[in-house]
Amino acid sequence: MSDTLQPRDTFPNHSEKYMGEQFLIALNSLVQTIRIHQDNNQLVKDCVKKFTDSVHHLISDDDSLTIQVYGGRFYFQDEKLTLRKKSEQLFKNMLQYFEKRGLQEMCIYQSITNAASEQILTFARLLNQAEHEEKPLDWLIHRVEEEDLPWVIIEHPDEQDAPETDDSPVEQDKKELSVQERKDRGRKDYSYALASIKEMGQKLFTKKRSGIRKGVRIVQNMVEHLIQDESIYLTLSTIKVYDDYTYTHSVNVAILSMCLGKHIKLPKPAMERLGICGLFHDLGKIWLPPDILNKPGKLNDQEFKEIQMHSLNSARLIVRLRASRDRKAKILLAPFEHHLKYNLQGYPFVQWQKPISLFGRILAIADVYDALTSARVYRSEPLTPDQALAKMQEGSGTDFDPLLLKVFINMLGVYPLGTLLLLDNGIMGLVSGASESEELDRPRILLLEPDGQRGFVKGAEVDLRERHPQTGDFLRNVVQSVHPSAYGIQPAQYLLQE
Amino acid sequence: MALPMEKETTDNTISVQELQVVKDVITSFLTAFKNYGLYPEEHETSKKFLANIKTNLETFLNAHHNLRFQVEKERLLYKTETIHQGPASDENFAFLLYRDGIKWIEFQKNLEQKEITSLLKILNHYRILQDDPEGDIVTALWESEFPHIRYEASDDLWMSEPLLDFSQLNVDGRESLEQEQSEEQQSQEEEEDTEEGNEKSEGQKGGIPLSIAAQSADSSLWELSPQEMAALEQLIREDKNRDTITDTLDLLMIILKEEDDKENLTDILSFLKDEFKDILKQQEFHFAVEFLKSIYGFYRYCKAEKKWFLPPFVAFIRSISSSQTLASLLPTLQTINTLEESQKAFLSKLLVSMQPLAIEALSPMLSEISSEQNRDFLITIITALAKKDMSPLESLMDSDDEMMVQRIIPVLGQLGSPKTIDLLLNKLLCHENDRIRHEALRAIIRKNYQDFKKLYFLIDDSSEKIRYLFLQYMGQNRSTVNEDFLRQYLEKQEHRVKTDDHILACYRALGRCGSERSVPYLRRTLLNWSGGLLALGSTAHQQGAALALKTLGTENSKAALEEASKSLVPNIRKAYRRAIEE
Repeated sequence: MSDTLQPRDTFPNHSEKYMGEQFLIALNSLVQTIRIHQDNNQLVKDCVKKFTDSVHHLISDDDSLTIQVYGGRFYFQDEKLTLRKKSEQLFKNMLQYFEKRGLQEMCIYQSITNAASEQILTFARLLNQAEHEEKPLDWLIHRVEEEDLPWVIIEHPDEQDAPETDDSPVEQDKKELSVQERKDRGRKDYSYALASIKEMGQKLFTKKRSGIRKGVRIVQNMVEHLIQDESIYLTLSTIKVYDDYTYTHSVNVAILSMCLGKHIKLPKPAMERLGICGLFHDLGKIWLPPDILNKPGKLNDQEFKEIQMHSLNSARLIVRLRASRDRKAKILLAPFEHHLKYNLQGYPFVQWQKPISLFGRILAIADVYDALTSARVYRSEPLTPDQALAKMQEGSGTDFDPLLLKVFINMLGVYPLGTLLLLDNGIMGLVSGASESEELDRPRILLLEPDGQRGFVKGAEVDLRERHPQTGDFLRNVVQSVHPSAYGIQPAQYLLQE
Repeated sequence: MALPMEKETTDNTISVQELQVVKDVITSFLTAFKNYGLYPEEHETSKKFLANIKTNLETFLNAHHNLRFQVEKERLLYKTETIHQGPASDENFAFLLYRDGIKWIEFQKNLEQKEITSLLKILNHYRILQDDPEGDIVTALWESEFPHIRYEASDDLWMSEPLLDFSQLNVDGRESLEQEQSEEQQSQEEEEDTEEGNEKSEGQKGGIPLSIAAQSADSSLWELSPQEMAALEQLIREDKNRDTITDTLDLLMIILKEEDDKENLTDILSFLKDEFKDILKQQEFHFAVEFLKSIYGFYRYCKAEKKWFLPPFVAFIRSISSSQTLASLLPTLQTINTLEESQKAFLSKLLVSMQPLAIEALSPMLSEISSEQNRDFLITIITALAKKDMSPLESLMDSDDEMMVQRIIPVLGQLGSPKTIDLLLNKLLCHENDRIRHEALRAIIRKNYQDFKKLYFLIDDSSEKIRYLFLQYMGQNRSTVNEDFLRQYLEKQEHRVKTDDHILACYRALGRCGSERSVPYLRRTLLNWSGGLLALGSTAHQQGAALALKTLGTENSKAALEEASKSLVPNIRKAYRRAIEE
């Protein structure tokens, strides 16, 4: 392939304002393609060309191209990227791609025109590899220098200029956290959220009143952190604790709801309220006798009636919380509604004929998804995440809001993070990364190797799109998903802990 | 432009000048914090304090972009310098920040005054932290989303909580299951009926569902079309504008119906009351009307189905009619003429539907409303309420708020029941305040009260205005009873008020209500020349008698006047002339 840049008319009909988008498309194709194909593959060559072309168009009369990520947005040459709806997914993927590497600013110089395609491929590989490093950004800066790629400079946040923006600054220091530090932070958030909701539940159970300070604080933390790194929180939401179902379920529902809220672009204060609704949605279960809650067999009518009161009881308990009327009024409805279906069937059986609120619809989706994927006393074999989504899909438009359900499936992917997959080579792996291309059923997975003691240890992380260089066949194929509980596997243990 | 945060120098050296500006900032902040709450926000002193902070901060931020204070238990540090120190108490804002876990707080360039005001408000609101509260300084800062104030908070709240070790979490309950499965005869159908209901019943129906991955080629499963995207945005917009007030109220009514715990009931009712107060404050009167309807509906339900609910519920109904609840209406009632007609109608409907107890809350507002038109609106309401039960009105008559009592009297007049008349006669006409007596008399007159005997005492009222009004009223119709009373009153000359004007007014009234029967007395009084021919002037009685005779206008009265005109006594002639001229 030619190493020189193509003339500007490569994109003859393309408006200049979408050139930033073209760059992201080209970069995405490049970094994805090299994960699968060899350097001499024509597809790879085409991707390199498109990438350099897109840079050339953006540089235009300037000497260099500056790409920045700030406040969840891309900036090209200090201009905020104009985003089209159809590119939304790409934008999200690339934003995550940059965030996972702590990449906030890079500068590409005109001299890229003289760069050999091998250099550009090296750069793309470094970008891919950085994600797995302890301190991805430091590593990337160091490696770019080592490889002598003079046409690109990766800026460290301490040195970079931020674009002018009207976004509110986040409250935390912008110091770069390593991947492991972010995972640890997530683990803390989950642990504290669980402790907070348990403490509240216990206080309310003993008829004491309860404040909500800890719950609010931890939800605020989670909003901040999941905006920065959603995948860690989606992984955390796979945590299942058989003996402590109600409370872990509450935290999971809070996380899944907030993530869905993020995907429909709710502002932060609304995400906070949604998270609190998620955390408190099952408070009413504290009044259920344990022998009903944990009854393995069929419930009699009276027991079932009691179960069906729990959503209304959640609302009753929220009224009792030590909080302002205004706050309680904002978090009362969704917990009450979370078992009312989209078509207003469901329970509690009270006179309520109003359309379910947005938060109520979100909670219903998050609640059912987490419940279906959890092992329970009455259901020893829960559904795998992909089966749960398929099951829920059947209820689209009757049980669930069809639009929100689509966003939910889109958010999780067909094989959500933490799904345990059995591969055709007999090995199992946990989904560790959402598919970034159109091949949604071929995510990245973390292989699990038997430790010889009925347990597993972490293996390599592989991309299910990898093909055999000679035959072009996929190296690994999914046979089926299996539930981690069947193997005593807690996905978060492998995906988040060192 | 660099991020202010990152631009901060790592150099810890501080010039004397820099330190002085920081000290000025902190001094102005401390002053404002200490005085917060002493003056209203709009008070000049408050404004001055805030302006000082802003000026001092601007001086610093213009040169340094951001100002960060490290927070320790009893002090604030700027770089390495302690710039504020105080004991660990709620008077020390360094301690307040520390108490809630703030590690540092930073002010950035372009900080706005409203951010400073809100920060002071937050610090003051959380100055004393209750046990197990709703939030703290950190939660409030987060929710405020200040564009130019940043901070970092620690996780000290959970200091004693261990972190989860994911490897130790029991994921499948295998141990429990093994034990349970022997007891269990689970079937697919049974599973449908257990706890979560919908998710469970569907989860297992018809065997294991296919994976969604099997359908992944169909991107319409997870991709929104432009139309769907627009519909979703519409849904979010609609939800944002959703009427959460009625949602909340309706839900609370459902909760109430299901409630069977007294303690919970108290909480719900208190919540309802606060909600109602907020509706009034927001002037959402149509919701308030609906609210009351639901409440009364529920009251009927309680009477039939839940008798034990009645005492607390009745107390609740009374409480929403109390001044504590209705006080927020005053600004609205003061400017009722500015409300739209529909709003006004809803407010009227609402107030009229309240318990008569509301009279006690609404009546004092009459003293606070300057516009007569606006007062009339309220008087109509109070009248309607008093028609249901006037005892609250009655109790108000002993109030020290005399302006209120005066303004409420027209209500009594409008009611016109024997009880209200009795109140007017026996209480208000005897009130020590002239204005109240005057207003009470006006109310009596408006009712065309005819039992004058009960009013005669007013003839000697200390207020000329009242005496005049009373005599005017007496003189409206011919009445032998009133005629006799007046004649005797004048004849005996025992009246306490002895001014000429009063005497003349009595004669005028006698002229209007009297008859031929009074002519002899009037003639005698007019033609009396006991003062002798050389008396200096006609007496008030002579003048009054002449006036009365003129007003009577009978043949005999005219004859008496004719006689007076020809009298040799100048005073008598003078009295005649004045009467004719009037």
